[in-house]
Amino acid sequence: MPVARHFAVIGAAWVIATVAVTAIVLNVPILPAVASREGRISDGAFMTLLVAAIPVFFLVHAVLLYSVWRFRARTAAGDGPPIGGHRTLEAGWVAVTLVMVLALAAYGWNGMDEMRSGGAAAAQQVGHAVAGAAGLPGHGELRVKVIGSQFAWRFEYPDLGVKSVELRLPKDRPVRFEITSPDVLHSFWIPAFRTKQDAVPGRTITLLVTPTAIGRYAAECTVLCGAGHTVMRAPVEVMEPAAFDDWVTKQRAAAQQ
Amino acid sequence: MSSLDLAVPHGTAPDESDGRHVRTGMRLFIVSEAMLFAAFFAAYFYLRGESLHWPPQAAFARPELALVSANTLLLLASSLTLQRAHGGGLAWRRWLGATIALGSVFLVVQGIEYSRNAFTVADGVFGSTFYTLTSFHGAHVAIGLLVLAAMLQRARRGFLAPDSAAFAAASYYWHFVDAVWLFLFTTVYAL
Amino acid sequence: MKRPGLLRAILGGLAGGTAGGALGSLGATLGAAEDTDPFLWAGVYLFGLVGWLWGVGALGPWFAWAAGRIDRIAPEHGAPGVRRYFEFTTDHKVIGVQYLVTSFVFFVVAGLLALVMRVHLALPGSSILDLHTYTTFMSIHGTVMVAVALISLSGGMGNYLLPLMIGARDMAFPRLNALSYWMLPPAALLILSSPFAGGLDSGWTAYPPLSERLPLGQQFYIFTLITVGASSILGAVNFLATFLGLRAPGMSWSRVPIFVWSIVAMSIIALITTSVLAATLIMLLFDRLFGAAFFDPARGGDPILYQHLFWFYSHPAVYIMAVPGFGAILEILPVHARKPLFAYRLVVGSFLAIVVLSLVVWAHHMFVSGMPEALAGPFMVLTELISVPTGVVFLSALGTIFLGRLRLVTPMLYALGFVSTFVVGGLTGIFLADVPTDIALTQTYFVVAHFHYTIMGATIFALFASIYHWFPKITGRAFDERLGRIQFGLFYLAFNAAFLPLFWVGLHGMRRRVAEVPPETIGANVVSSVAAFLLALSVLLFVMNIVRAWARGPRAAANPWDAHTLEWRVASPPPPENFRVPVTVVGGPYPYGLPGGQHVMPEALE
Repeated sequence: MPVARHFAVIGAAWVIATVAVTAIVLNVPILPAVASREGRISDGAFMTLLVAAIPVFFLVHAVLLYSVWRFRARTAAGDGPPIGGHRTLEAGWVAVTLVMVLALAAYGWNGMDEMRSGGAAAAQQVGHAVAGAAGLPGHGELRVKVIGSQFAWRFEYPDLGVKSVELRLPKDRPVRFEITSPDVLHSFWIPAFRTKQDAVPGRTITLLVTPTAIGRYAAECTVLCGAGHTVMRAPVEVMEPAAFDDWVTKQRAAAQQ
Repeated sequence: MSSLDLAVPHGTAPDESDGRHVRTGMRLFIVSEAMLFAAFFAAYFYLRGESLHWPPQAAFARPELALVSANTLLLLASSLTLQRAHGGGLAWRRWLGATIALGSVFLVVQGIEYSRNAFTVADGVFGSTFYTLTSFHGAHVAIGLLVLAAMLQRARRGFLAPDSAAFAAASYYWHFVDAVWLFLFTTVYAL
Repeated sequence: MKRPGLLRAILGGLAGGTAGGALGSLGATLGAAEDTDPFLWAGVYLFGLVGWLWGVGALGPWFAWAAGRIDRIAPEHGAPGVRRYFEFTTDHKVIGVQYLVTSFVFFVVAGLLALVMRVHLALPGSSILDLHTYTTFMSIHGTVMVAVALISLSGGMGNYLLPLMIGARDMAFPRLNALSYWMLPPAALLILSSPFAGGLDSGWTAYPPLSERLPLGQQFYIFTLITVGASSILGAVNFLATFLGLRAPGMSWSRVPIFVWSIVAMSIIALITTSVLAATLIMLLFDRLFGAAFFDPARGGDPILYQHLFWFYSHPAVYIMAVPGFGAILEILPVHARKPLFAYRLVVGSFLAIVVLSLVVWAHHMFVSGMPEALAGPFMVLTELISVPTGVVFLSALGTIFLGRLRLVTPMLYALGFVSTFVVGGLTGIFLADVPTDIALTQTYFVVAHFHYTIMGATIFALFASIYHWFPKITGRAFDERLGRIQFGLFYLAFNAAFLPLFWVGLHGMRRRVAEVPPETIGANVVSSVAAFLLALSVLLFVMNIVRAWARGPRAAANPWDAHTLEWRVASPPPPENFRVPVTVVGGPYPYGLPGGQHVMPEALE
C-alpha cells in the first residue's frame, strides 16, 4: 500500500477529530466565570493555547492508533523496511515546531504585558469614578494593602482609612494591591480574577487588577505556608461603586466607635 | 579463547585504580565541585547586590588583608611544590610532603583569622556568606590534605610514582582548591 | 560479624549513630546552642551513615589502599544466588537490580501515602487526617517520588545496561557505583522518620522562611536530599567516565544505542546541577542551625534567592528523570516495531539541546514569586523553546512505528502508552510556560496533573516498559504475557482516569497541597480517588507477575525479542564478566530490515 494512502487516512482522521473537538471546546464552557480584566486576557490565552494544542494531540494519537491498527505484525517473521530517517520530514518537523513555539511565545509576551499594564488606558477611561456622598476620592486606582499571615488575610485601604478581613471592591475600578507578609511566604490568589501574586516577607509587591463582574468570590493562599494552609481564605465581593462607598462609610464609622 | 582470558585490550575496567579512568573521573568530579562553589558565590553576589553597603553593618570590619594575603601565597606555593613533585627526581616525595605542610599551615592560619574576626556566622548575610564560603573551602583543603597524605603513604610503600594516574588526579583536585581560593580571596576579602 | 554484610551494616549504623549523637550533643552544648536536638540528630545521621557504609564493606578497602597496605583493590562479585543482592558487590548488574528493587519498594510506599491522601480527599468533610498529618504525608509522598523518579530508571536500568550496551565488563568505577547505591537506604529511612520528628509541612520544595521554622523533620529532609544528591553525582561521574573510556572497538558515537545517549545526557545535567541543590540545602541548614541569614529578610537575606537556587537544580532534575525515559522508550520501540530508530542523529542532538536548554528555564516556576518582572519574558521564551527538542522524541517514536511490523507485547504497549501520556504532559506544560495562563494555573491542581502526566508518562511508563522488556535478560525467565497486557490496560486506563480530572479540578479553583476539596470539584476528585485505587491494583498485578516469573517462570532464551544491541548477545542472565570474547562493533544498533545488517561481530558471544 503506498505511503500516500496511509497519510490520507491519518490525515482524514486527524482533521475530523481536530475539527470536532475544537468545535466542542469553543462551545462548551470549560472555564469558570471570570471577573476581572486581567482574567479575561488570561482566559483568552488559555483558549488560544487549547485550540493550538488540539491538533498536536490528535496528530500524535492519529499516527499512534493508526500504526497500532494497520502495522501490527500478523505473522511472526520479518522485519519492517529499513527507514532510518527522512531529511525533509525531520527538518520540516523541527521548523514547524519552532515557528509554532515562537509564535505562541510572542503571543504570550504580548498577553503578559497587557495583563501587567493594569489597564492604564482603561483606567483613564474609568476616569472619575463615583465620588460618593461621603466625598471620598473616587477616581484612579484604589490602593489595597494585602497582608497574608499564618493563616489569614487582612486588607487595608490606606487612602480610605479602612481595615477589613473581607476584601470588597468596586466594579470597573483599577485596584493596586500592595502585597506583603510578616512571617512566611504566602500567595494571594483570587480564582475568579485569575490573578496571583506571592506575598514575600520583607517586600511589598504590587499587583494591578481591575474587577469587572459583580459577585461573591474568594481569595485563597496558594503557597504552602504551614499546616493551616488549607484554611487560609478570605471572602471577596465586587460591588457597584455606590454600594462600595456605602460599605466604606459604614466601616469608617464602625472604626471610630 | 578461554573464558578466563579476561585481559582483553578493549574497554574493560577490572579495578578502580586503573589509570585510564581516574583522571577523567576526577576532572568530571571537579565540574560538580565547581558548581557547588558557584552556588555559594551566586548567593554571595546576589545578597551583596541587594545590600546598600558591604559589609552591611559598619561594625564588621573585613578580615585583615595582610594575614590573608600571606595565606594566599602559602597556598599558591603549595601548588608549585606539588607540580615540582610531579617532575620526578630523587626528592619528589619531599616536595609532596612540603605541599602537605604548606596546606596544613594554611588551615592553621585560617583558624587564627577566624578567631580574630569581629563577626560570626549569625551576623547577617555578611557573616553567613563569609563563613559558608571559607569553611567549605577549608573543608575541601582538609580533604585535599588527606588525599595527598594517602598519596605520600602509597609513595613510601612503593605503590605510587610521580606519573601515576591517582597522583595526577589528586593534583587536579589540589590545584582546583587553590583556584577556588584565588577567586574567593579576590571577591570576598579584597573587593 | 567479621565479614562485611547487611547485619554488620546495621550494627555499624547503630554504633555510628550513637557515637554521632553523643558528639553532636557535646558539640552543641559546648557551642552554647539553644536547642541541642538538631545537632544530636545531625550527628546520629552522619556517623550512622558512615557506620552503615563501613559495616557493609564499602569503605574498608579504600582505607587499606590509602594507607598503602594494598596495591590494587579487587572487584567483589558476591556470593552466587539471591544473597549477593543483599551484599556489597561491585557487579553493575547486581547494583542495577538493587536500585530497581529498592526504588520500586519506595515507589510503592510513596504510592500508599498518596492513596491515603486520595481517600481523605474523596470522603465528605475530608477529615480522616488532620491538616498537619495530611501535609506531612503529602510532603513525604512528593519527596520520595522525586527521588524514585531520579534514581529508578537511571540507577536501575542505566547501571544494568550501560556497560553491557557498550561492550564493557563493568563501569569505570565499580566500587564507587556500589557506594552510590548503599548510601540510599539510610537516606530513605531518614525521610520516612520525619513524621516522628515533627513532620514535614513544607512540601518537597521546602521554601523558606517556613522551612527555617519547622521542626526537626525538615532537617531530616535536608540530609536525605543531600545524600541522594551525592549518590547521584557519583553516579553521573561513573556513567560519563565509562562512556568516554570503555566503549568497545568500533563503537563510534553514531553507533551508540540511544538509551546510552540518554544516560550520558542525564549525567551531564546531574553533574552540573546537583551540587547547586546541595549548596542550597546547606544554606538552609546553616540558617536553621547556626543562625545564618541567607533567606531571612529581616537580616539582609532573601527567600527568593532560595527559589532561584532550588529551581536551578530542580528544573533540570525533571530532565534527569525524563531523558532516560525517552532513551528507554526509543530503545524499545525499534525492537518491537522491527524497524530502525527513526532520526537517530536528530534525537541525539535533541538530547544535547535539552541538556543545554534545561539549564536556562528554571524561573518559569517563579513567575508570581516577586522576582524582577523583566525576567519573566525571556524565561517564557526559553521554556517554550524546549518543546522543540522534546517534540523530536515524538517524531522519532512515531517515525519508528509507522510502516513497522509491530509486536504488541507488554513492553511495547508501555512504550506506546508513553507516547500517548507524555504528549498530554508536554502540551499542558505550554500552558504553564505561557505567563498569562501560568498566573492563573500555577500552584493549582493543573500543575499537579501536568507533572504526573510528564513524570509518570516519561519515567514511570518507561520504567515499566524497561522492566518488562529486559526482564528476560536480567532474570533468564519469561513473565506472563497475558497478565502483562491486562496489567498494562488497567494501568493506562486507571492512570488517565486518576489524573485527567485533576486538570479540570485545577481550572475550577483547587489549590495544590490542600487537604480540602472545593465543593464544585467533589465529583472529579472522587473519580480520581477511585481510579487511584485501580492504579494501585494494576501495580499489584505487576508485582505478582514479576515475582512469580522471577521465582519460577519458564526459562527465557538469550534473545527472545530478537534484538541487536550487545546485551542481547550474551546469555540470560549474563555471566559476571559480561563478555567472554572480545567484541567489535561494525554497524549501528538498529539494523532492522537490512539484509545481513550487523551491529556487532562476532554474532555469538557465548
